[in-house]
Amino acid sequence: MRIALLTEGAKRRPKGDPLAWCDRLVHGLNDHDFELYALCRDPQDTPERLAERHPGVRAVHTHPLWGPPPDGAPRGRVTRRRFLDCYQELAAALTARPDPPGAVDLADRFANGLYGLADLAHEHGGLPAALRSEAAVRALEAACRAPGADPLLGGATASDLLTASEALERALRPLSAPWYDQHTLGAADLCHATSGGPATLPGLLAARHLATPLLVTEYTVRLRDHYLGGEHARLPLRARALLAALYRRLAAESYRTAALLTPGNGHIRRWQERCGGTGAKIRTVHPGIDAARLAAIGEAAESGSAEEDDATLVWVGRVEPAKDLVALLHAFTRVRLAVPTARLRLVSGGGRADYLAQCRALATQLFPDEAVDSHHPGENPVAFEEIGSPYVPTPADAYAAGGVLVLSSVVEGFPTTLVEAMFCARATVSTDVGAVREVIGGTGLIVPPRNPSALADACVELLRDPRRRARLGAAARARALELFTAEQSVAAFREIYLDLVAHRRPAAPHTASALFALPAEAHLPGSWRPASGARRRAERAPAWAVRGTRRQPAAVGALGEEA
Amino acid sequence: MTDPRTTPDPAEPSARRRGPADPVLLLIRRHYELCACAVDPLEIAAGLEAHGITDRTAAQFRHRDVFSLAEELYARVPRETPVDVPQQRPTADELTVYRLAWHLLPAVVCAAGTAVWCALPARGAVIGGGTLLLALAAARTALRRGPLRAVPASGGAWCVCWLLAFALYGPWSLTAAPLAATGLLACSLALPPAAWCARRFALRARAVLAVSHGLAEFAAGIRPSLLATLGLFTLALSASLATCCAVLAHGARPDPVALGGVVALGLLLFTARLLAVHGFPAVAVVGTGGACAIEVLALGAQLLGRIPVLRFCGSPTRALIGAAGPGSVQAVACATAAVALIGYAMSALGHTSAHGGDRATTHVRPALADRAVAGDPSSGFTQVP
Repeated sequence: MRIALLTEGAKRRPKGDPLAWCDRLVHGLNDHDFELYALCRDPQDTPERLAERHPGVRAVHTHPLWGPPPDGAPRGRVTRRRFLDCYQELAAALTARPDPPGAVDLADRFANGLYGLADLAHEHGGLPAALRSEAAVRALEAACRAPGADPLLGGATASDLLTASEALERALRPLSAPWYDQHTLGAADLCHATSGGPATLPGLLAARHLATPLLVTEYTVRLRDHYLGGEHARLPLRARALLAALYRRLAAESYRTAALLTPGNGHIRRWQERCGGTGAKIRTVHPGIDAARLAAIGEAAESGSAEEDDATLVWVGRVEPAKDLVALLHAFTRVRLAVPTARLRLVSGGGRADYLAQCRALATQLFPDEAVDSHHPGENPVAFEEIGSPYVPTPADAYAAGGVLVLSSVVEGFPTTLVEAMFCARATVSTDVGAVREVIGGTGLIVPPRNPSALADACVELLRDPRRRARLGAAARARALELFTAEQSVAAFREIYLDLVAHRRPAAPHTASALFALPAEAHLPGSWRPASGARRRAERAPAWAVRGTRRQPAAVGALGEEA
Repeated sequence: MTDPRTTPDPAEPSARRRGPADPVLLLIRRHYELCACAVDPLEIAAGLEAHGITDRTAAQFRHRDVFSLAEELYARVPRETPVDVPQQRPTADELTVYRLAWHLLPAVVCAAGTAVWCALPARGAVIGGGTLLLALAAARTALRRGPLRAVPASGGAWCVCWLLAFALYGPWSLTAAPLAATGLLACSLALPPAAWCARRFALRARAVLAVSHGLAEFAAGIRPSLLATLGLFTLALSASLATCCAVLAHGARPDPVALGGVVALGLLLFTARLLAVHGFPAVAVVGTGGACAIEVLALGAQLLGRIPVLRFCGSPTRALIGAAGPGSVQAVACATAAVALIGYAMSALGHTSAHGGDRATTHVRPALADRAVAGDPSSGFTQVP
């Protein structure tokens, strides 16, 4: 089976490749052909570099979203008129008041405009230049002033309109990608968008024109990221409103068109349902975690060879204000009152240096160095360490260093560190944020966020009861092995791929009308399509030959081989 | 936000913390900026989540989830119309001292060439050609930076080369009049003022963009500004031309038509460059190419007219030169093209799309994600600095 992975590159790539799970998928499903279609915001993302970064992918196609638009507006009065019609539809949908989801009329207008523009780009080219033309700005102005438009947009200045039309042009640049023919996306059996938003645009067009099923996997909500991101914040208010409307409508359209949505956790699922995804189409697939390097620690902990009375709390993660380390340090003062031997190790995997310095200062203020007697040098009960340092060479060592893992975040998506601690059979205390509740199940303690005393109480409970700690750790490990392994996630996607391709509608119109147009092999994995030349020969063949082929489907493949 | 375990017994009313009658009001005050600047309820939902508000928190405000809480906030808080935001000036178009020095380089080259020519008047043609080539190279380097930077269009450079070469050699080739170095020197001296005028026009356009409430208002506001820019440049060019005449002519009375030709040439080149800078390089090439074509035609007719059989071909050029002097060909060609280009620019540069690009980027506020949690006064304990 040929699978097109649709991705969107970030300009500044955060630490840790966001496509790591895709690499695991490509590696795990090596009987399928994967092709990467990347929308690049970084001039350094060339196909060669992407191919190097993601081994196992058969081909890499890129389309730039950066830089000025290519020259050459569409020529001819008819074409320009058609462009304006489509753009007016799109603008009308974008400038309308934010309606409750489910308002079909505007969603249809948006889809009409979007697909109309895509057709235009496919047939005549020059869409980016047209989207930046004066006619487009004028159409946007007319839509903002039209009755029924959002009152906020009524006062849009010329600057707002200009900025908005430029932002819209950049966001719609995937429509001009040269991917929508029989050799690229047309040859794929399935489009798998690895995030929502612009990355789904090629998939939407393929689903519309080539009837390729679209699978949208979201491990963070792309729409929410857009609202919180820098691009959104940089724009003036009204341009921001227009661009946000585009992202909102695009999300709704992709959720409506996609054959299946696979959110990474329940929180993302709620966003998808809110933005128009229907429950029947949504299937949660937790991101898998490569547990091989953690297996040894987990087994050792279960067999009881780890030290029994380990009174060390561990925190692992990126040092950010959202992790609320200040609350953790305040909670630890209370823990120390109840359990004087308790220690806290904060293991950072990068993050903000200023916040780390702030936490260090707070820790030295709250906890003076302590020594066992007057002859030994003192030591601080709170230790700041870094992954990669000699004491903690790998993340696995961080989990091995303590008996209880604490997660004090105020904001959290899918808590990777929590899952890794579960694999290490560690008892955990976490705040009730993000997907923590569905991840932890009943195998750890949950406290409300921003509540240091509750956090301290839970930690003390676990520190005082080693047997409960061991029980919870074992349960956590069993749960993690059942739900969050990389193998489980790969297997889920394998099943989803087969299911989607099996239910695929026939693509071309001449095959749609014929009964049994697709042979039975079409539903099998692997490369089952005959070469394009062979298909044409089969079409030209006399009726009796085609009938014979239909009786013996295997012959199609054989004919293809000969051709 | 409050731990149910620490909530005091409701049987003791005195110990119960008395909350406000409208708990959402507290939330509105806490997240006022987020709510007032949000463009739709989902943005408020995203911002609330970034501040750690979950569905469980929303339940305390008698809402099913964060989304419906966000909808209430969106409905209750009036949208705040932003005040005029300070526009970020793009550094790419700034006219720094360093760039100004580059823009002065062609004038220096031309002045040096003129000085050498005055010393060796017999080799005038060769020295003029060499100076022209050096000045063109210097101008090309200067135009790659600063406010006159533009996307190159094919053929544009050749047209400019021809126009300047004709300004130098035109009268000499038509009537064997002496070389006219005044025009070239004046044009090269006008390059720094041209850059300053272009910069002023770009800034003015951005200012008009920010205050215009529609495209028509913008067009009405920017046209006087364009005329003022062209007028300022003409003044600067005339001033530099007068200086050149005073220095070079040694008291001789200059030909007014030739001077008009030089002004028309400068105005044509400036308008063409302005159009190219604002995204119309092809039109700029057409304009300068038209002037070139008229000059080539006049020169060709003159040359053909020297053949006895085709003497009638040269008669229009001869008539023109006879009536208004050897500089009249350049004056007619450049003035015609300049008027046409200025007419086009009045319409094209009145469009907002001509002033796009990185000129319109603004910095309104830091991203929500950066502000979240860090500056949140609601966290129940002080953060030690």
